[in-house]
Amino acid sequence: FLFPIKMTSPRMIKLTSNDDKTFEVERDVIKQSVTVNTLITDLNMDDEDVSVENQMAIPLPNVDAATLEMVITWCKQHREDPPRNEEEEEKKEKRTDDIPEWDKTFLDVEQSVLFALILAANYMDIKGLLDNCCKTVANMIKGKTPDEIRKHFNIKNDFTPEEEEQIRKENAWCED
Amino acid sequence: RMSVNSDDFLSDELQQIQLDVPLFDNLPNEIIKNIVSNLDFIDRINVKSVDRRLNQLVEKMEESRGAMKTFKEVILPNSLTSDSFRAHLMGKKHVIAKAEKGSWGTYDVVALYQVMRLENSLESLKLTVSDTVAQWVVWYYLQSRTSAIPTIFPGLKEEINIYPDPSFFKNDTAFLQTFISLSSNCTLTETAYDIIIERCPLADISSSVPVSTSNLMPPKPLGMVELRNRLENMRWNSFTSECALDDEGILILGGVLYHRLWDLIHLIDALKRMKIMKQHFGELRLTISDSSLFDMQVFNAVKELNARRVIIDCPELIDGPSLREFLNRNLEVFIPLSHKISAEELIEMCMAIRDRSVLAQSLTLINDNPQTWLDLVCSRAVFLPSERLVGPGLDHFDGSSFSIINGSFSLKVDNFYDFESEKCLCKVHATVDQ
Repeated sequence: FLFPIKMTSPRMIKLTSNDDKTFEVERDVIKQSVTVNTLITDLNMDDEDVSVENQMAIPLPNVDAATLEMVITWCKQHREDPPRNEEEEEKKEKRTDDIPEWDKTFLDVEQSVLFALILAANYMDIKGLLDNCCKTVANMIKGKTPDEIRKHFNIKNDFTPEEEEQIRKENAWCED
Repeated sequence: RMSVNSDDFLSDELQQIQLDVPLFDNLPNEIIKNIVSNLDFIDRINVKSVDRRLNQLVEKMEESRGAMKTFKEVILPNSLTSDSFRAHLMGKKHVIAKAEKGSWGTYDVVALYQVMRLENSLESLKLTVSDTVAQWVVWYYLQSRTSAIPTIFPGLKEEINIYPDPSFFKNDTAFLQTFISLSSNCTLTETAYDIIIERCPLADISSSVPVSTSNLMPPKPLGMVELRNRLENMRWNSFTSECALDDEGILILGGVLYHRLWDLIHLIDALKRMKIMKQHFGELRLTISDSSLFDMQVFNAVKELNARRVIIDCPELIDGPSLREFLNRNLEVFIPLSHKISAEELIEMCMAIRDRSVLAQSLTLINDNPQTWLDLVCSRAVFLPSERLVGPGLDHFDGSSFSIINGSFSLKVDNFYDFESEKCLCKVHATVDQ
């Protein structure tokens, strides 16, 4: 006897960026976004009877298409990652030399792209991506003087000369 | 005919626009906190100095973390007495004490000590002195006594930070003259000496101020010279990564790399990170040339490191009580003897470890001169607290030992405590090649 094997295609979820571009992404991939995951659960979108064509797209008003595409790429790459234990993550000493090689290359982008990714990861609540983005920015800061940090990130120095002098005095003791 | 690639042009233009947008400003506070939490102490200080928003955020983070506290600033009045100190410090757990100009003197410090003894609630103190000679001397006075802080300030749970305002080290002859007369009873530490030389390059103070002779010693070829050279020129965060590259399991930091207090804080932080990265490292040899660094920070830090072997390398400055402190904390003390240490001084040190509480520890002495050891062995009282040699088979063995290693001479002294006679006994193994 031959039993028919039911080939189940992966469940897909539709996401719409703020510039109205819709992406179809595997349910298993996008589960890394707590925001999207919660929406899917709350809206009963895991119901298998609803085909992807009839499915409502989840709007992501804070994420543009280019960034969303990157977020999806990152989620695909990390789909096999074990679930994060936030309590343990909290206990861990922070390090910036543990960014996976793939992520390092992936995040080696223009500042504007990196910052857009940070905001998207924050909005979509993807802790792994957010942490690695923040570590990347931290690595950009490391070893730089305040002035170099300002130049690198185009930050305006809004201290008054008196405040600046006060800060300099406060920190003078740790200057080599 | 010249062609223009419009994409390149646009790209440049976009890049310019991008640079004009303050990207950091758009980040929510929580994200900035996440970024900052990945930074070490020095980088956080640098971030704090970038703009007001970052300054406030990092300050708040430090307050909530409790690790680096924002200290309440207390401006102390001109006429300091125990009472006025107490009034200012009472009820405050963390204090930055800033003296008004000209207000500090030895009497004030004595008053501070008295208050601190009484004020057990104070957990940390940052004492900033400003720009007078007297203040400098006060700083030196305090700094030279930091090893005594745990007993002087029983309530102090964290380290005490005492630091000078660098602005008062000026190339000022009058200042120097006054300083020299005030400090005639002091022996300068290397740190103080270096600072004065650095700030007053034209001053000839070496002849008039007593300076520890160790300042004049040429570098000793101890430790990993290459590592040392690199360490001397690098920022501490790159130091972290460089050390992490060393996979030999044995790390020796030392030689003549004199660790000042601030270096040491960096070093400790870096070593903690290394521990996380490498789980463990084999041997840490820490050269501390300044007696003011013999404080709780060092003890606590090396304890936290869990290295298989921690050696405190303190060539000149260790004395009996310090030695006992180290040994009581299960730290191995490495004393590379040089001609600066006489046999008499060594004997004095060895006498210090006759205390029973110390005998359970281990002390390794290394000397280049076999004659010194022969002198020491001949003065048996140094190593043999009970004046007795005993053979194998003693019932009560506590496993402690001394060992002396030299190219042509070795001496191993196992110490025992005989419960019946209530005396410390020793077993000596001596080998002389020639």
